[in-house]
Amino acid sequence: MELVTVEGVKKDYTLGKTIIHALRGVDFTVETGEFLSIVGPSGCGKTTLLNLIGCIDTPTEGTIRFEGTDIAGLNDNQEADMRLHKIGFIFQSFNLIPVLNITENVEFPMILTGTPKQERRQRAAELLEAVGLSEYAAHKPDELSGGQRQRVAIARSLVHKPKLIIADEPTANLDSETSRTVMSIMQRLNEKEKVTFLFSTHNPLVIEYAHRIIELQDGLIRGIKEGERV
Amino acid sequence: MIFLKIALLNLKSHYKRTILIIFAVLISVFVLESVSGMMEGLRHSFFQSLMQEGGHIQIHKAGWKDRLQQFTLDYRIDEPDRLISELKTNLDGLVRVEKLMSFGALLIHEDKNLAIMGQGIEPDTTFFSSVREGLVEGSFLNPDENSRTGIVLSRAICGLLNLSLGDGVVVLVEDSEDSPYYLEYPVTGIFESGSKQTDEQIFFLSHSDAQELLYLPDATTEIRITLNDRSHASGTAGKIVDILTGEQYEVETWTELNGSFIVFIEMFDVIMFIINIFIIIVAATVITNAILMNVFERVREYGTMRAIGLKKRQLFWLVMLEGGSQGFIGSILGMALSLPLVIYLQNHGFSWGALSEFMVGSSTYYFRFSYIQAVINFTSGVLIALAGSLYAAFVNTKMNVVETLRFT
Repeated sequence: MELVTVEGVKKDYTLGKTIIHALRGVDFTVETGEFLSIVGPSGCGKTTLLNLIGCIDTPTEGTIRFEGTDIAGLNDNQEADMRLHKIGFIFQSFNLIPVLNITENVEFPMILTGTPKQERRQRAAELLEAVGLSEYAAHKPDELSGGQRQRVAIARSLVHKPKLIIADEPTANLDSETSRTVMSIMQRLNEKEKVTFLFSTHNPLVIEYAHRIIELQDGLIRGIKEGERV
Repeated sequence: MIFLKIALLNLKSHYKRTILIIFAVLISVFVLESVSGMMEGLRHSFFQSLMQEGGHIQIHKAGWKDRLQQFTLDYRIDEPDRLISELKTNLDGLVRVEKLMSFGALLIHEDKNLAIMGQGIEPDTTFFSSVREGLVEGSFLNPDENSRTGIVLSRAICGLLNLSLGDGVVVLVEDSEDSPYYLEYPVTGIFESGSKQTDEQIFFLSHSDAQELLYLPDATTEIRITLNDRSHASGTAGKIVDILTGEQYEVETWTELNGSFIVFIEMFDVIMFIINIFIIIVAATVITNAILMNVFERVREYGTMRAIGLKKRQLFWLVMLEGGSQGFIGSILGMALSLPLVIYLQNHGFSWGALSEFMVGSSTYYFRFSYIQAVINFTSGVLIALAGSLYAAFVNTKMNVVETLRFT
């Protein structure tokens, strides 16, 4: 079943008098429950594509449908609602809120959805246990290592049970061992929580974890191949 | 609740800037409250002195206002008791109607003398409260006696003329027949009014003694009226004119009598308003800068929140909440510093010398605390911080989420 459909998507940026063609016409679909990786060199348009699918940017041309809804037609509030209820984000630099402790960081999306405290505390505790950070529940982000922070970010992305998790180079700032741990956690949660993962990466080890790999170059898809996990 | 927590924790994590903002609000509230305490004190002193010294309405014989000689007895009101009775019968809202007599005199004791103004007043007068309340020796024109009640002088004049309580002092006047005439009165009261002008320029006799001295057995120079509501002065003055039809009198309200002082108060209000606005602008600018720096340091953090699903208006209020919290804390501290000062100066006052005398008719200037002003000033402190946050919040919400996530 198709969760996201990307059709003829182009994205241009204007830098002074220069127009940068970040995406030149991209077509693909993301299936529900898939673990899909977008790979390619720096500047090929990976992050741009994820931003467009994640409703934090709009395409210059083309259509992106999320569960059949054209996201280009959404206003600011509808986009925010879409992100809040259906999408989870994992960032390269973890992007945790420094003044909140780990539990509060994880439950933050549920606070925005107005979930009762008891329910969100329980859910946050479950996810912190799933990523192996229960003992750090009361710590602040700056008391954790990079790998631990990224695991917090993974827990946060899942806490509100989104349909899709977008991870932009989630292992870029991690060593190979930690990267493997993080990828394993994501894979396990993909299976356990039945949530779709879409992530960009340079890391060759993702081939072990991905169902499909989209190769992007100069704003165009050069190929789509199956990952080793299939 | 989480937004308040984020706001407060952010204030803590950027404590240097937080202190700067709180200090700016504190100073603003301190100045606003101190200035308003001063202004309230000025207004209160002004109106109190107005009411006590001049009443709400004064009636004189026609021509009195343009008289050439200050203490002339040519403009006298005959049969004042009949007139007062008529006014009391026909007018509502009168608290007090009194007859007064102003005249020039020479006080003589031993080989010293002093040219001064005499004031004949009813012994149970409600005017000249600063004199009555400032009595330091003797009594104030004992109202039980119908015969001569003696003279009430300031301590300064007693010192000048070498007088003590019970001593006799000769009062020399030019009577209503334009003849020199004098009588001797015992000093029955000595006062210190707090006003250098009053202490050095006026002495008091009972109205009946003044009538005898000036040879004006059934006349006075002025009728002074206090109303229960000074805002009715104009309407009441109009009715008095109607009642006095056919007779030649000048009827003036407190606003006509004190026009220049009222203009002075209004001008002072405007100047203080401009100073307050200036303070608010300076404080708001400092706060805007500091909050902008806070916001730009956390652009990625805000971007992350928006990527997660935080709406623009929620982000706007988050920034405003931070500013408002700082405004609230700064206002509390500003009030904590300014209120004791205002209340201390309300109770003890302070002297600006001649300026105090000019402004409030007393050498000591008393501040006055006003609950309404305190609430307004406290709210102003919070609003200054909110105004300072407004631009930062607006800029922040206008930023694109993608831009904010790229922000370094």
